[in-house]
Amino acid sequence: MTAPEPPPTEHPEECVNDPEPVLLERRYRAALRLLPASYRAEREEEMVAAFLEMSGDVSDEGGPRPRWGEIASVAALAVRVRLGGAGARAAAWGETVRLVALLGLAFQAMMGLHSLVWLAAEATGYLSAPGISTTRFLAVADVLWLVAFAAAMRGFTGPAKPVAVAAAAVSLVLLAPSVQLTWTATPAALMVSAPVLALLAGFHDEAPVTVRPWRHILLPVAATLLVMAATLPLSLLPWAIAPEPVYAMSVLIQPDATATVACAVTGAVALRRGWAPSARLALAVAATLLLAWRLPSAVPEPGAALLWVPAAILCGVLAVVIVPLAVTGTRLLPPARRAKPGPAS
Amino acid sequence: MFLALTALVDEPRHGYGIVQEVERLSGGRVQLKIGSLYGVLDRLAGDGLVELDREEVWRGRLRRYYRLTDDGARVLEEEAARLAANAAAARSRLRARGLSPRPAGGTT
Repeated sequence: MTAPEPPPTEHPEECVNDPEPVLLERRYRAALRLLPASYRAEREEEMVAAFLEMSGDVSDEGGPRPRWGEIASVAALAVRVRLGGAGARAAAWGETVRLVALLGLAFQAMMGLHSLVWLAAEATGYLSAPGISTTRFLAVADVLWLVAFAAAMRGFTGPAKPVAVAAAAVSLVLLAPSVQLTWTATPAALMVSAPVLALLAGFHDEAPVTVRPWRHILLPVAATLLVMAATLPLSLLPWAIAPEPVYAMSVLIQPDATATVACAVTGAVALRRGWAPSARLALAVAATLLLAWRLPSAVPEPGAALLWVPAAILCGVLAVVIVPLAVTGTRLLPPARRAKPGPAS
Repeated sequence: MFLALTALVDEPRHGYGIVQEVERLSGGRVQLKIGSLYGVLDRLAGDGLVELDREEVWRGRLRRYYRLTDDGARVLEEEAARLAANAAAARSRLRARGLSPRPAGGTT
């Protein structure tokens, strides 16, 4: 039953004692550095031994390196260990990533809803909105974002993943020509890809399934619709004669401004009420993404103070909440615990 | 997971031993990467389905052997029964459709 395993005999001609494959081992150990130090302390030697046994004796001459598949499997393991492996700290980071995914999806859902309402208003001839061009193709992305957000919130994270990936793909395709790869493209692409990457990484097989209440889903939806309804009279004004403050207002009534205010207010509440570190860190990340998103429109332009000043104020508000959220969130994280390979030893 | 548990039924095995056994059991279809193997082992150990059996040093390197726990054996048994039921359902429907000319040798 417990007889020792016979040594593998696949490479009998090379079964010599001393010359271990130095280069391959060094390169594999380098790949293992993707794993947290506490995990490596337990597992590194064992993994190196298994890897070298699998590779057979390889001389350094051909410059051997681990296959990409092996490195990818270590990277996947690293994501899994960091976001929900053993220990409260990893679990808190995992929760942070999941919240970032949900916040990012909420943002995209708000933007999607906004543009869908515009599209519907335009299609029915109710409104004509110069400067806001929506294509039918964009509507596909809008619907996909809304579906992905609702699905992820209700705990259907499996189906939410391909939907969100599709939404991001369509959004990125549309983004490419419209911004002509200016420096606003980077934050916009980040805003599209970050929630999807967080969704894919955070909701892994062992992640706890949380079904969030419908009111949390309806909150961003209602906020977007209310702000739109409240500002409808503004958009009905003939734009040619609209006074300048109306332009300034129109900057503030976009859903990204609503999201910015909501994020800053929630951040302040999180700080006051002592929310969990994962919530603080997720809000800090969301606020940073929003800041990057807003920053291009906050650049001072002579003669256009009414356009950039509101954006700059929003950026300032975000910057004020980001730092305390990030600092307190990091400090309050549970201490790292050593990962254990198994219960018995 | 299923194959990794199966690989530990007859005797405790170390990391690479599990990789080899899984490959053999799957007829060469499943070739576990080391990172994936330890992901699976972490999960199985976390659920109490496998545990550390012993440590050995072979050619100057650490080998940890893992064994199936009683819980692990029970879970594997349940999973095997479930898969067998699925397979049996598929077979009987195929037979009803006249699509299974030669009943595959003796497992039913």
